Amino acid sequence: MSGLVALDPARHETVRFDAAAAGRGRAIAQLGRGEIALAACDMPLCFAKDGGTGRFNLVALMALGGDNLFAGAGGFHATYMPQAVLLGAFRLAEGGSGLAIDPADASIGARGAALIERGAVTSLVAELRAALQRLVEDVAAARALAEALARHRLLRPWRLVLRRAEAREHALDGLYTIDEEALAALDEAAVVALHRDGSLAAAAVIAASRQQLERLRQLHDAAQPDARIVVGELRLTSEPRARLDNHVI
Amino acid sequence: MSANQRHDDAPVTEVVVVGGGSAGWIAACRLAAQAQRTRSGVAVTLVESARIPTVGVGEGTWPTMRNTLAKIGISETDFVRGCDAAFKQGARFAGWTDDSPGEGYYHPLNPPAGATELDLAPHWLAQSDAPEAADFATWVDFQATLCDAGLAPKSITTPEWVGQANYAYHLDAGKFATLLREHAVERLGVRHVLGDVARVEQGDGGDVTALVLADGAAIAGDLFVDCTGFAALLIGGVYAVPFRRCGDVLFADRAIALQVPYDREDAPITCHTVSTAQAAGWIWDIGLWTRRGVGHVYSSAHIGDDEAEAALRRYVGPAADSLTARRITIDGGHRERFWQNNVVAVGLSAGFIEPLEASALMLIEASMDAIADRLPRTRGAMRVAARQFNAAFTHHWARIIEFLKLHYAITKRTDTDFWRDNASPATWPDGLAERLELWRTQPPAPQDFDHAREVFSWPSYQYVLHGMRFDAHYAPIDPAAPESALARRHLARAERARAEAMQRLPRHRDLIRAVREHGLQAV
Ligand SMILES: Cc1cc2nc3c(=O)[nH]c(=O)nc-3n(C[C@H](O)[C@H](O)[C@H](O)COP(=O)(O)OP(=O)(O)OC[C@H]3O[C@@H](n4cnc5c(N)ncnc54)[C@H](O)[C@@H]3O)c2cc1C
Repeated sequence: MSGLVALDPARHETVRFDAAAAGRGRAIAQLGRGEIALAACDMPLCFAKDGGTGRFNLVALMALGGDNLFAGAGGFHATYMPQAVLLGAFRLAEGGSGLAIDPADASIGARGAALIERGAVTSLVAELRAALQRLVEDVAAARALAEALARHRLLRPWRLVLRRAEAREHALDGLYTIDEEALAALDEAAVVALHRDGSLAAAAVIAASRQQLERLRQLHDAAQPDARIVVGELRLTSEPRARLDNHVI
Repeated sequence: MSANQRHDDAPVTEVVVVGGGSAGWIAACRLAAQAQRTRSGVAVTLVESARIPTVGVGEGTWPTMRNTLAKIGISETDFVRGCDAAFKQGARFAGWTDDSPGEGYYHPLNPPAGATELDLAPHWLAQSDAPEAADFATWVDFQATLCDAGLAPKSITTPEWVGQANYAYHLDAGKFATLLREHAVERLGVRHVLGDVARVEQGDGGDVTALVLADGAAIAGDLFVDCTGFAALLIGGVYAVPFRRCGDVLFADRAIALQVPYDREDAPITCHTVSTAQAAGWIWDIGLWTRRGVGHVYSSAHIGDDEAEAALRRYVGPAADSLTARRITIDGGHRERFWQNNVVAVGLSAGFIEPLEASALMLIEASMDAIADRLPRTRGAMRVAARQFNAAFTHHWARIIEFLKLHYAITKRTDTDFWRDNASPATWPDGLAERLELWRTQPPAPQDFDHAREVFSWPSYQYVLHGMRFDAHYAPIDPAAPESALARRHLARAERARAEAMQRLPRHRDLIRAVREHGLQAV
């Protein structure tokens, strides 16, 4: 996303948007709260921290240390494409067309629907802007959900270890999932509050979606039959806090 | 049942803490949090004078503070926000070895690489004569490099209490007491009584039964924690437990403190304590979020108060011109016993020595680990607890005095009487003199100490000894030996950790800003 430029009718006359090509090169995508049930049909959902604020974002995992496993030559092979994937080449911008594009994104090129025609933006641009606005709000709602779950200490690190035959282990760090033990130990008042605002149901779907890891593994092995992969979860055995007791050791 | 038996079986259910400084509120919070966690039914009352101020200094902590805060149930975010706290990765001692410009060394909070598996000191020493050889702290670990670069020990995505490098805090002492008080009263159910203790009632065998306040109210209890600071109301005033002075070993008996604002809003915040040697003492320099805390600790036998204040103002520069300095007298030493009858002294009432390694708050925490986590259930059990406590803390005090003296004893400075007197073996404790003899030919190791858990473990001694270029000659190193290969592996790992930390960790001020704005996550 480093190559964002303002969409300019003068410069981008020939630029087209191919929705089916979106997603290549994207291992995770942020999700909006409204996408949970849809994306969980295909992908493991989990949380990752924002690098600038440390706050949790809800994300869909789409790769196992390599490229997006759903995005292939023939399009996006999933029942649902997350909005952040679909709109990955675009950002809302101030002034001008109101849209910025990343010309290097896989969905931007010579194929697909036109963004500019006869020197003016097409109606697609307004549609993209509206979708981006909805996504921003939906992502904010997902953040609020994550915040509520974190406040009740219902998130735990989800450390995935990938093992390829005859290759070194590779860890996927920085992902978090629902802590079902903590969920089971919630007090009554918290259960009621989280149930009423829908957080509990969302947490159950997110927890269940971990099983889609097997789907990712199958997709991976189907694409690379010679480099099969084993995916495991690394559980912490000891409390890191125990290390804090002494001055230096 | 005999009267003695009744006395011994009496349950301990009412604990009264006297004093509302850092010691009093840490004590009350630890006791009340433990009672809440275990539903033990123990009730905690804190009595403090509205008239007698707290000492108001004490801004450097140890990593132990992370544990203490977590046990009390205060989040790291609330702590950082509430106390204007900053992160501390150790101390840099400037000008202690000699007074040449730029001279200094680090005592970082990270242990040397591989410390649980091997001792790198002989390997460092074997190559330390080479041109361009790194100093000990930099060679064995990456934290000194982080300190030099002004980088934080963690990032905003690191969970609370966890660090890429080990860390402690710098905090505002006044705000710390306020944060602890609010937490104690609002969340932990501590009863807070404002009043001056005017009289103490004692029962059979001299146990304190109640404190009588100036307004006549009586506060009864089974165990009393004396946190009355230098007043030492119970341990000194009631029991007159003798005070063991150590001014013949550690000469500092005065402090002058200044609070210095930053000259601009985004001024870098130093991520370690800077201790700069002076003609007759040293100056501490501690960076908080809003200001620096700077102070001169010195020996009045070697320098006058006005001269010492002038030296402090020179150190700070023009920024000090409009600031008022606070003068504090230090009576260096500690009680011969800390727990007498049903009174246990915690904090300045138990003792105080110059804050060279910021050990006072740590001793409060260690005391409360012993008292709150193993609160005697009966008056009879208290006798055993007291004996254990007194033995452990007498040992800790002796070891702290020795470790502080080490910073002076091996100086190469000869410019003033203060440094010459410090280097004279006549002023060294026997334990230190004996160990220094050993350490000329062997690096400090766990076996050199009596306790399994020393307050200063062997790496601390190594950082100071080698930081000060102590003249040591260890057994030669064979580069082909298996242990040398292990050392190279650990050093290579430390190098990778250094490169990664330097690349990933944020500037110290940026991290604090992010924590204040967004908070740290629990996981
Ligand atoms: C110059 C200096 C620098 C220091 N630097 C460090 C450092 O960097 N790191 C560190 O860990 N420590 C440091 N310390 C030590 C640290 O300040 C103290 O250990 C800490 O503040 C605890 O103090 P306290 O609570 O025991 O005493 P105080 O803060 O003095 O509190 C005493 C309390 O007792 C109450 N009281 C007294 N008499 C009565 C009475 N009759 N009735 C009712 N209440 C009464 C007072 O009102 C007050 O609330 C430093 C100390 C000094 C002097």
